Amino acid sequence: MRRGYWSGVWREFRKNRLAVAGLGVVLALIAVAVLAPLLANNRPYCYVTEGKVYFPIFYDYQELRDKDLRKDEFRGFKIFPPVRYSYSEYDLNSIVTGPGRRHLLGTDEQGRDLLARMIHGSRVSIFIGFIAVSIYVAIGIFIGSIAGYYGGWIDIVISRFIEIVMCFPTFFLILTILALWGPSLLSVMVVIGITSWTGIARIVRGEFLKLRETDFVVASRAVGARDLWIILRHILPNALAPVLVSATFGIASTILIESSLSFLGFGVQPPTPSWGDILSQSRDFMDFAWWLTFIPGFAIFITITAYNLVGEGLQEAIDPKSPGR
Amino acid sequence: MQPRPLLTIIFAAIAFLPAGCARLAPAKDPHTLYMHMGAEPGTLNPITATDAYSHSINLRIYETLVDREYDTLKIIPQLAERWEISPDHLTFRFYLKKGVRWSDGVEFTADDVVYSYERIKDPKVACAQLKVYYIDIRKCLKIDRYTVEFVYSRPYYLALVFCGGMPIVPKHIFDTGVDFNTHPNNRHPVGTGPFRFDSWSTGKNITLVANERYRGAKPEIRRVVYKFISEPSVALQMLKKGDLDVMGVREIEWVRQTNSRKFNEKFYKKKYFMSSFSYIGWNESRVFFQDRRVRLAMTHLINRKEILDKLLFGLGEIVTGPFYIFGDSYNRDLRPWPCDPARAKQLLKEAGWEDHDGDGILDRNGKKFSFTFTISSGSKFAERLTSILKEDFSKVGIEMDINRYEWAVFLDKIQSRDFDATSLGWSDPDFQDDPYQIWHSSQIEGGSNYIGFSNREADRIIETARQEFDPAKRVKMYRRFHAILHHEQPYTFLYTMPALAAVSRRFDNVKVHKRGMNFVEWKVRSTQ
Repeated sequence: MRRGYWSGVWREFRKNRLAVAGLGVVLALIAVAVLAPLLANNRPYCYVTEGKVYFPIFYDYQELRDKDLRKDEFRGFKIFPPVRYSYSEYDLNSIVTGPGRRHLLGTDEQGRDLLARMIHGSRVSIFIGFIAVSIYVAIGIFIGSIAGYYGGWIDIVISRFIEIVMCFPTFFLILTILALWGPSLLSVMVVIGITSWTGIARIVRGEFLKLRETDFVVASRAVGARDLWIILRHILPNALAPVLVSATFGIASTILIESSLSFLGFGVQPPTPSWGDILSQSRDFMDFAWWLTFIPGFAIFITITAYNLVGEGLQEAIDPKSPGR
Repeated sequence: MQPRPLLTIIFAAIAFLPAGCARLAPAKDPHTLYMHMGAEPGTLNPITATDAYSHSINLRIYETLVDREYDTLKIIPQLAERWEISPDHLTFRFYLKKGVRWSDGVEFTADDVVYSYERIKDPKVACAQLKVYYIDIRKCLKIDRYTVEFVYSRPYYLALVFCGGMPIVPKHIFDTGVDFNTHPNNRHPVGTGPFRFDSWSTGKNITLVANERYRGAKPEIRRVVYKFISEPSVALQMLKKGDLDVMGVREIEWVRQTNSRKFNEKFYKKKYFMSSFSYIGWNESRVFFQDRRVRLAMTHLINRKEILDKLLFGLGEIVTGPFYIFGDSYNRDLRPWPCDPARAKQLLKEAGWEDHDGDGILDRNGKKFSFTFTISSGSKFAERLTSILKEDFSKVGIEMDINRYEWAVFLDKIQSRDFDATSLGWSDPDFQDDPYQIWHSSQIEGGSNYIGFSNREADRIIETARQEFDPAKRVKMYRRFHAILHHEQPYTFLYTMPALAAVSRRFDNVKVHKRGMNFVEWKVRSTQ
C-alpha cells in the first residue's frame, strides 16, 4: 500500500515540469559536490611514465610529492581532470583575471581558479544543507511525535517549549553561539540543527494528533502493540510526506544561512571555499571584477530556486486537494 | 603602542545605508568637514578610551600640558606655559597657562591635572594600558592654583612626554560621585581644545563644532562630522559622491579605484609613512617555536617580497624590526631574511624536524609539525596571507590550520596566550621607540609580550636605554636590540604600510607632517 502511495506522488510530481527541472539541478549539484576532487584537481587521474603507472589523484606517492605534473618536464601519458587546478593553489602572477581560456571563470585576488573554488565550494553548501537539515528533522520528528502521540499535558508542555524556542531570532542566536564556540563548519551545522527544528516538530505533532485516532492505530493498540512500535511502524511513515516537503525548503534556507554566515566571516575557515565566502572575499573588487560576485551569487540563486521548486512540486504532489487530482 | 587589526578593520556588520537620500540634502556648508570613521568609538573619555577612533576625536576636544610639534616632534607648550626639570630627571614642575577655560566656561586649574592623575592611578578606573606608563610616577602635587609637580621614582627619557602628555579631564564635570567608567559625560566630553562636542547620534555620527572659548587661532573649519561606515567599499562610494571629505583608503582602492581623472580633480591623494608595522608572532611557549632555528625557517619560507608586490601592490616596505623604518633607531645594516625554502628545510632538519615516518609531514619525537594560525575575521589581508602560507608550508611538510575569530574573541585568545601563531600590527603614533611594552620579559604575563619573548641581553638594553638621556647612545643600544630581534626572529616582521588618504580639494593647505595630517590648519577654498 505504501509503495503505491509514493509512486502516486512521483506520478504527480513528474507532471510539474519546473519541479522536475529543479530536481535535475539538485541532483547535478549533488553529483558535482560528491565528485569535486575528481572534477577540479591539480593532479592527474593517471600518469604513465617509464613503464610505471601512477594514480596520483587516488594515492599518495612519495616520489611524486610536491611535483607539479602539469609541467611539460614530466613526460608520459597523463589524464587530467576537466579543471586542472586545486581550490587552494595560488598564483600571484594572475590575480583577478577575467574568464578566459586558462581559467574558465577567471581567478580571484590570490590568483586561484574560480571554477575550482566553485566546484569545491558546492560541497560545503550541499553538505551543510543535508547534515543540518538531518539534525533538525531528527530532533523535530522525535519531539513532535512524542507531543502528538501522547497528547494531554505532555503535549501542552512540549508545545509551549516549541513556542519558546521559536521566539529566539535564529540568525542572531547562531551568531552568538559561533562567537562563543569559535566558527567552524561543524558548529554552523550543529547550531542550525538545534535551532531550526520547531517547524518540523509542529508538523509532525499535527500529523500524529490526526493519525493516532485512525482505525489502524486503534486496532494495533487493541492487539497490544507497544507505543514505540506504533509510532515507528504505523504512524511515522504516514506522517513523513509533509516533513519531506518542509525539509526540502529547509535545505534551501540552510544554504542561504551558511552563505550569509560565510559572508560575515563566521562560516568555513580559509582557505576552504564556500559560495558565501567567495562572495564575501570579492566584494572589494565588485566594480572591476564582476565574475567574482556574479558567479557565486548566481550559483546560490540557482541552487535555492531549484530546492524551492522541488519543495513546491512535492507539496503539490502530496496534496490530495491539489487541482491535478 | 596600540594593537591594531592587520591593516584594516572591517567589523562584521553590514551597514545599511540609505544610498540616495544624501542627494536630497540641502547645499552643504563649506566650513563643515565630513570625516570617515571605520567604527564607532566606545567612549569619548580620554582616560578610559582604548581604540584609535576615540583618540582621533579626543585629540580635537581635549588638550594636554605639552604637545609635540607636527614636523620636528619637539615638545612645545600647550596647557602648560613652561616647565622645569630637576637635574636628576626626577621632578617635573609645570606652570599652567592662566585664564584657559573649559568649553563650558569654568577655568582650567591645577586641580584638574591632579584629579586626572588620581583617576589614572585609581584601581577602580579601567585604563590598564594607560596605567603602565604612570607606574614610575610617585606623586603629582598641586603647588598652587597654576602649578603642578610630578615626581618620578626613577629616571626615564620619555618621562616628560608621558607626564606632560597625560590626558586631562575637567574635575568639576567628572567629580560628582558617579562611577568614572560609566559617567554620562564619557559620551558628552568637555575640553579645552579647538573643537567642542556637539552631538553623538549612535550608529551614525559624532559632530564637533568650533570652540568659541578656544584661546588659539580659530580653525577655518567650523564643524566636523565623523561618519561611521564600517564597509570600506560603501565609504568609497560616499566619498566619490561627495558625502565624505576625508577617508583612509585601502591599497587596492589606492591602486585601482581612485585613479580616474575625475577622482583626482576632486581629491588629493596623500601617502605617508607613520611608525607602524605588521608581523607574524610565533608563540614561544609552543613546542614548535621554542627553537630559534624553527622561527628562522618559518621566515625563510615566507615570500614577503612577492606578497608585498602582488597583494599589497608594492606600496609598503619590508621591515626587519620594530622601529620606525626612517628613524635613527632602525638598524639599516640588517637585510630582511630572503625567501629560501632550501635553507628553511636545512634549519628544520637541524632542529630535529624531519619526515621520519614518511607520511609527508615533518615530525620530531613522534610529534607532527601541525599548528594553528589564529587570525581575526575582520582582516582580509591576514586571511589572504595565511591561505598562501598554508599552501607554502605544506610543500615542506608543515601542516597549518587557519582559525579566524571575531575581533573581541580574537584579542582575548591572544592576550590569554592561547594560540600558536598569529598576525597583527603595532603602531607607535608618537614615534617613542621604547620597546619595553612589547619586548621586555616582565610583560609576558598579562602584558603585550604575549608571544613570550625573553632574552637577557634584550631586557638589559631595554632597561638601561630607558634611563639613558643621550639620544646618540640610546640609538646605538636600540640598533643592537634590533639586531638581537633580527637574529632571534620572535616575530617574522612583515611590512610597514603607508597611510593612504583621499582628501577633498575643497580644502587648501592640506599638509602632511611627520605626525600625519592636521585639519585644524586646513583652509576652506572659496566656493567656485
